[in-house]
Amino acid sequence: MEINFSNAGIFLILFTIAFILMDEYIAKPWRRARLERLAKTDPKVREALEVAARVAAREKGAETD
Amino acid sequence: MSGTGTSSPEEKAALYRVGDWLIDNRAWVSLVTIAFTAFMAYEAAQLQMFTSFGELLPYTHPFVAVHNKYSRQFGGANNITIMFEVKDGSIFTKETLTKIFKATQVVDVLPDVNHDQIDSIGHRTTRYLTMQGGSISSPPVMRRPPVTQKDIDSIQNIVHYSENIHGILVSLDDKAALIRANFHEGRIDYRQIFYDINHKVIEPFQDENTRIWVAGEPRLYGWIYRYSNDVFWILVVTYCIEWVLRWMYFHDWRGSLRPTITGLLAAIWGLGFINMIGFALDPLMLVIPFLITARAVSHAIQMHDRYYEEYQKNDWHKRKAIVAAFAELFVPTFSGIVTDALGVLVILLIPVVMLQKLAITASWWILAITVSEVLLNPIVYYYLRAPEPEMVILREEGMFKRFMDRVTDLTLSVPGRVVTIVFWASVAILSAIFLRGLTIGDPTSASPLLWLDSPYNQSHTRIQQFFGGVEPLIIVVEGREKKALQEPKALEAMESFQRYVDGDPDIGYSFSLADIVKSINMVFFDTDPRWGVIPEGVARIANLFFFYFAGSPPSETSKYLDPSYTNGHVTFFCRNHQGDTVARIIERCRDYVSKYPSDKVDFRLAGGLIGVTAAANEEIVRNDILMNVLGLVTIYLILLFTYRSFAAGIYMLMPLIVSNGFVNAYMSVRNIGVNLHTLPVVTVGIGFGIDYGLYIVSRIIEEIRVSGNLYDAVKTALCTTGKGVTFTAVTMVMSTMFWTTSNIRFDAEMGALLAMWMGVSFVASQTLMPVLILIFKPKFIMREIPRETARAGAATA
Repeated sequence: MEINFSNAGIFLILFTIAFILMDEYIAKPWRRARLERLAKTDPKVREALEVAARVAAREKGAETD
Repeated sequence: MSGTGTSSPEEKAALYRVGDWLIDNRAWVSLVTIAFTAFMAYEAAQLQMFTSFGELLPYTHPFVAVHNKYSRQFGGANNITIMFEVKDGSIFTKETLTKIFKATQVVDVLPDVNHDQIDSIGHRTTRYLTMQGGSISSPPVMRRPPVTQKDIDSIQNIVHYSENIHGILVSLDDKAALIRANFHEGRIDYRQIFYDINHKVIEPFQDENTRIWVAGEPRLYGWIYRYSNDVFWILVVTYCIEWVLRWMYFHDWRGSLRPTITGLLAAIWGLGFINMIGFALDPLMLVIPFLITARAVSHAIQMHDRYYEEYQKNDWHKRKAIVAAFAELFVPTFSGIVTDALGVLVILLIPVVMLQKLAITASWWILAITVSEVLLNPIVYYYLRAPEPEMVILREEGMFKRFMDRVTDLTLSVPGRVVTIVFWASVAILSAIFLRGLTIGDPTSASPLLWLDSPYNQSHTRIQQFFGGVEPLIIVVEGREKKALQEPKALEAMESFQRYVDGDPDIGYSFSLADIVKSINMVFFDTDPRWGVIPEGVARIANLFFFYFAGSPPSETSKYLDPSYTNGHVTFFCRNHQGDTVARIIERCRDYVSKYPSDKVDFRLAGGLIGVTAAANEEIVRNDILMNVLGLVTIYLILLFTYRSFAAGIYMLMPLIVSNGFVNAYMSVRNIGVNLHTLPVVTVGIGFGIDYGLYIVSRIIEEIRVSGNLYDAVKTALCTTGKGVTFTAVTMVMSTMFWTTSNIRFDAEMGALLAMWMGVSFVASQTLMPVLILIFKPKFIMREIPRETARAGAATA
């Protein structure tokens, strides 16, 4: 198939959507699980996760308010 | 002056307020942007891609004036050459001669063809001299395809006894024949000509014994249009790879998306603007829009990196981080964009319409980044979810960060500084040595726009093998009085000029009115070669012209001379259009004109492909250094205003000067000539190289205001902003390198050159510039140390 402006554009839009979905629903949970596993042995990771939890709680509180 | 080396605390506070204002008014700002983008997208959708040959010519050059005045009459630069080559036997068979005749008829009805500028043994304008009933006549070589063996023998005899045909339109070994056609300049439909030649000439007439080769400018551009879809492959591949790289760098999809939004918006605005002002995209200039988009993406990466940093610094408050990133990076980003835009605008000075259009459109496109990157940034971030804090923290502990720390320590150490200075000094010296071989114009006989093994260049080479010169140089001979060309002295001057220039080894053959006169005279005397001379009397010459042209329509005779016998031409068919060949032949022409002036005629240089190529090359010689100097001076002036320092520009231009020297040396070594197409690309490179320095120096100034220590400031700048610069440079170099896969050699080599430009200027900005700053401690940075710190330092000392 000869590539042109239209099919290249459609492909890139689909690629972008697929990539965002992949990051949100596959990579992010995997990353989270990996960090939680690492946090058991690495204090830096544990600290980072604690910060994230604190920020998340603050944001949630702000939303509730 | 204080602030980020660029703005006072009041100005910085104002920028914070602008950031807040943009977020507060996000709804209507977004609405206006979306509406304007939709309008520009509509305009961009109407955009066409074409090349106008006339726009490639330097319009102020006297050669181009001559070319434009006479090209319709004596032939222009848009010639197509079709060669029929037979494997077995000769072309003098019923089948082959019929094919040549029919193919000539097809060529005669191609769009935009000049019907009186077609040369082929199958065309009505290709005639031979003969005596009929005691008088001379000049009938066409073929009135119709041959039917009997007698017809074939007759055509063969005519060809063999005609000096203007044998060796010129039919090869000396009778294995090949040419059809040569000239096209009206202007907006030639290269795609249609390419299609017609393929489907109406090559497909029906090529077989096992007959091979058809096609060369010439319209064919060349046809191939370029054919390959121009390569840009979409390159776009798709680079987009996907850059997305993955940004995702790996930022650890979330927002880091990939944000720069895409900037690039896309700028591209829509840029393309829409090109259409709005009535311009079109040139397939050979596609690399430039690609680069501009890459720059937009690159600025966005810097901003996104800073946003992460500010998010952490501002205790994970999104809005504060957005406004801080906007305010802190506004000046370096804005200066970078303005520098890029003005750097490109310098191209306006070259008197070539295509380049001037490019300068205007590229500058606008770059300026559009100001809106898409700087002003919309806070709003886009506001709508996007904030990054995950754990990823922001942990990426600062990652491998890339550790690598940057290590490399920076090494570079800034005392031995590192020595190595850096020695290395860049060696690069500068070697570049200066090698760049002396830089060629102006095309360095090879084949077209540098396509690869050597491309079908076009193979055809070009094959035709050259059979016929020697096929690229015309037209010298117009203007008589000082009417009927001047009936004067023996005028014809003798033409002949003498022709013989003088013919002495150049790269002239294949030549043709002038003097040749016709001598041939007619000889025919009058039973083709006795002793009478192949220019007659002495005006009346005699006038008679010869009368006999020869009497049977031809005026449109046919006009290709030799005008109806008043005042203006004619000498045409040289050159073997190649290499820069040095063109310069040498033109010099030979000028040399004759100055040494042997005629009182009857004036020789006007020069038309045809070689003439306009010479004009372009001379214009490049005039403008190449000027472009580089003006580009650097423009950047220097912007740096002067940005940092309010005369020294800042010197430090920051150093990497660019080294890169420029290195790339020119590479062009010289790789035999890449500077031509009208390469000129803007190199100029664009100069503007783009400065961005790295702007970000790093701004950060050094920002850090020294906090730490008060130059070493610490440089180190922090290189490990934070320098990290973003490194990532940006690596992704840009990688994506630009993809152009090397293009079927269009020009795009491929420009991709490689620009990748090199960005690569070298990045390494120099990351090593040479900081080392120079550490060694020489420039005042424009040192004055930013807070007074208390400076006093404390002085007291300690």
